[in-house]
Amino acid sequence: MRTFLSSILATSLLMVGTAVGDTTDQTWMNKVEVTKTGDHCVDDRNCFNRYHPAIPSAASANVGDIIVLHTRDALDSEFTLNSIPDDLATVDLGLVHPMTGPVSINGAKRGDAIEVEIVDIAPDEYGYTVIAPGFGFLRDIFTEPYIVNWHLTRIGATSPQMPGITVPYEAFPGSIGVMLGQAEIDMIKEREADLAGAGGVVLGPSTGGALPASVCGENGSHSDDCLRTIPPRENGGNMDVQQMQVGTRLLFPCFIDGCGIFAGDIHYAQGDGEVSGTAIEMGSITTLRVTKIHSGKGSSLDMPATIGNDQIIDMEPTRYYQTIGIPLKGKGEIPPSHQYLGGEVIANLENLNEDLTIAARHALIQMIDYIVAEHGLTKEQAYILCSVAVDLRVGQVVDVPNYVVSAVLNLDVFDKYRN
Amino acid sequence: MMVLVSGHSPWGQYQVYRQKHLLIMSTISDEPTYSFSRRLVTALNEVLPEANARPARAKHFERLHSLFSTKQMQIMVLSRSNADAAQKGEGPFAEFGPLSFKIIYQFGELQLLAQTDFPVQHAWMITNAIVNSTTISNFLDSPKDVLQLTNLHEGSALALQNDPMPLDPREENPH
Repeated sequence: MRTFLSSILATSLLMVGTAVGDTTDQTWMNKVEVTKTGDHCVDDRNCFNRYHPAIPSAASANVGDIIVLHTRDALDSEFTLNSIPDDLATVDLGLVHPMTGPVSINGAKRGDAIEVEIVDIAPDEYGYTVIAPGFGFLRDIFTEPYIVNWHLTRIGATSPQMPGITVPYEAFPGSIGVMLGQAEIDMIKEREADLAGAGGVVLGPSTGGALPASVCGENGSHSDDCLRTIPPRENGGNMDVQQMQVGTRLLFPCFIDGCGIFAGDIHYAQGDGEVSGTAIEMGSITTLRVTKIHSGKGSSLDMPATIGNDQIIDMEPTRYYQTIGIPLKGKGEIPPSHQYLGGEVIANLENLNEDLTIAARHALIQMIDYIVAEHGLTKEQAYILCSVAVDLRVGQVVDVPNYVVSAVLNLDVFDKYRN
Repeated sequence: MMVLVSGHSPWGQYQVYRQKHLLIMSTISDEPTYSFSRRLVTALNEVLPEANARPARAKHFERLHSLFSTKQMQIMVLSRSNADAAQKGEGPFAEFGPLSFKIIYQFGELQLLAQTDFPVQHAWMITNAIVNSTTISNFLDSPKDVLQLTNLHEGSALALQNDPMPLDPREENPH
């Protein structure tokens, strides 16, 4: 009996000694993690806010590696849960947008294209949406600062400033792209200077707050050549395309050896149009994976492209309200988007010709009026809601002179319509 | 003509906002200044509505220093101890350096400060609005005491001495 019991005990001890650990210990990913250091981009060697090929890589990765980027919000931590509209006048807009990276992809060369999968986006707990004076699609109508501070989970965004509303989690990279090469920088500078000369809104290279300072700052090696990150360009960057959801793959042309992939300015949610100028802005942990290098295929891409499956369907509302816009405006009115063209021809017209911008404006203003009248929000709340949950859609571009843009509000954002 | 200051404000329209309003800067780091700036804004808009006064709250001393030293903000409220430290480049301002300013008015432990080249006429108008406002009268130091301050703005001194509002230099010398 004693021998039997001893055998059982010995066998048990042997099983414990060779037992398999928790499933968390089972790993297969080869991770390349680019973390944040310090409170702001200026404190962080893995952060930059300009484009130039001289900006050094933060890390390198192989095809198939899991690239984990710890990203900062679009305004580099200007706001907190306690921020108020009176804080906006003192914001340092020279810090926009901080990017994490760049990550060099081993084996990728200038002239190639890379395919990048968006694997995951883990949101921060806090996000914000603002109306900043002088910025946004209706900047001539909304001239005073406003801010909504959001509480974020993987389910939805809520805010004490927007009671009764939950914006669903539909996170995507507001900014994702690859580094520009010198030839592209030269070409872009020239065409943007031409536009500036014609009165267009162009932000040229500026050294104030430019990072990394050693390359792009006042005494940097290429201080006159570092492009701002605000406009999207052939390298992607600040595209703000919400269809770039988790599970999609993005194609980028490579302009430098290694490509230099980066991301930042991650959006918790956004309407097509981002009309107030900001989405639900947040920091994040964003996971990417380069799945393929297409050798020599960079020249076949004028711009980045998205490859998706059912991601768009998943974002569509189950109930909605839609307004219809055509290119109508007030007599004597010259909307800000058209001021650089001069007012002589269009000022006294009430109906413009083949104009998607004015049609979008018409649809959006009607939508704001609807939200105020039917759902009791203030005009500012309505404008913010449009920026994060209303999609501007092109209806048609053939029924001259009146192209149609519609504005579609996802009514699911109202708690009163959901369980 | 707008002066576009590098850093801080790349959009010209943002500068337009800052110029369209009389922005009274305060900071979260100097606790009583924001709530007082709101009171001051109410008072100014009551008597001087064309000022279109608004509060502007800076997140910390560094931001306040940066905006004032680059002349992106013209006016600020600080507690007297922090104003003194700012002028000397000490205490919370030791890392950023000294600031130069003139006093527009004093309210107990708080001071309203302006750039040293803040127009004399504007300082006169603001001071006149302050002493004639009903909403802030309980918080003012007496004009007699304020006139004794060594760093008082010339425009404020003229207003407190009941001198007439000085002309805009452009009106004096139209050519």
